[in-house]
Amino acid sequence: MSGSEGQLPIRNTIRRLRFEHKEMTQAELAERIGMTRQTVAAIEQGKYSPSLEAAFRIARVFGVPLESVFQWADEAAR
Amino acid sequence: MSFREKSAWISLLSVLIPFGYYFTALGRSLHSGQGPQRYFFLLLVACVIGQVAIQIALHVVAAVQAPKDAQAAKDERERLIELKSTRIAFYVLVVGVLMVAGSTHLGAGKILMANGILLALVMAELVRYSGQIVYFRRGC
Repeated sequence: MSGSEGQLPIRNTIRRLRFEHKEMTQAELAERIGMTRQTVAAIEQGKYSPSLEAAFRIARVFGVPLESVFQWADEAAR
Repeated sequence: MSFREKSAWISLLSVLIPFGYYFTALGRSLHSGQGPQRYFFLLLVACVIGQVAIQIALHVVAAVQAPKDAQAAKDERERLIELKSTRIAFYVLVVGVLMVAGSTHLGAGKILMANGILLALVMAELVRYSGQIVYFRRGC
């Protein structure tokens, strides 16, 4: 599951959520969800869409529902 | 740069340098009308040894620089990158092998055909590692 061409139609709030959680680093988040820092960076920049399982793991780290982390780009713009 | 991306660069160079030399030497020999000789079999063995030596040496250096990354299991994005680049490389290999098979009708000898298949394998490997590097650079 990935965005093969450019930006994906899904936006995320991982960057904001990291800062709201004691300025958690990408490396810390990566370690907690069992991924590499580069993968977290790619997700954050909208270059890679994580699997459903990884998305749920990210949401669980921040203690928020999935839709608070990932939104459709057109909905996030509203 | 992640350990996996470094690994892709190392693998690319370890194929490109020895086999680039091998096929350049072979091409010159064929161009001068000499055709493949026994020397090229020994050169091929040396290239394989060279490839393994480059792989081991550079991977050890990369692993020493980032031991935690080197030991970590591949995550889903890294596995996807491998799969995507392997798929592209497969098509390169298929085209190469079909071209070698077609060369039978042009009177290619068995040594030339063996080298043709080797070239197809090398090209496929180069495409695979190049693909990995591109996907790592792009995010995926």
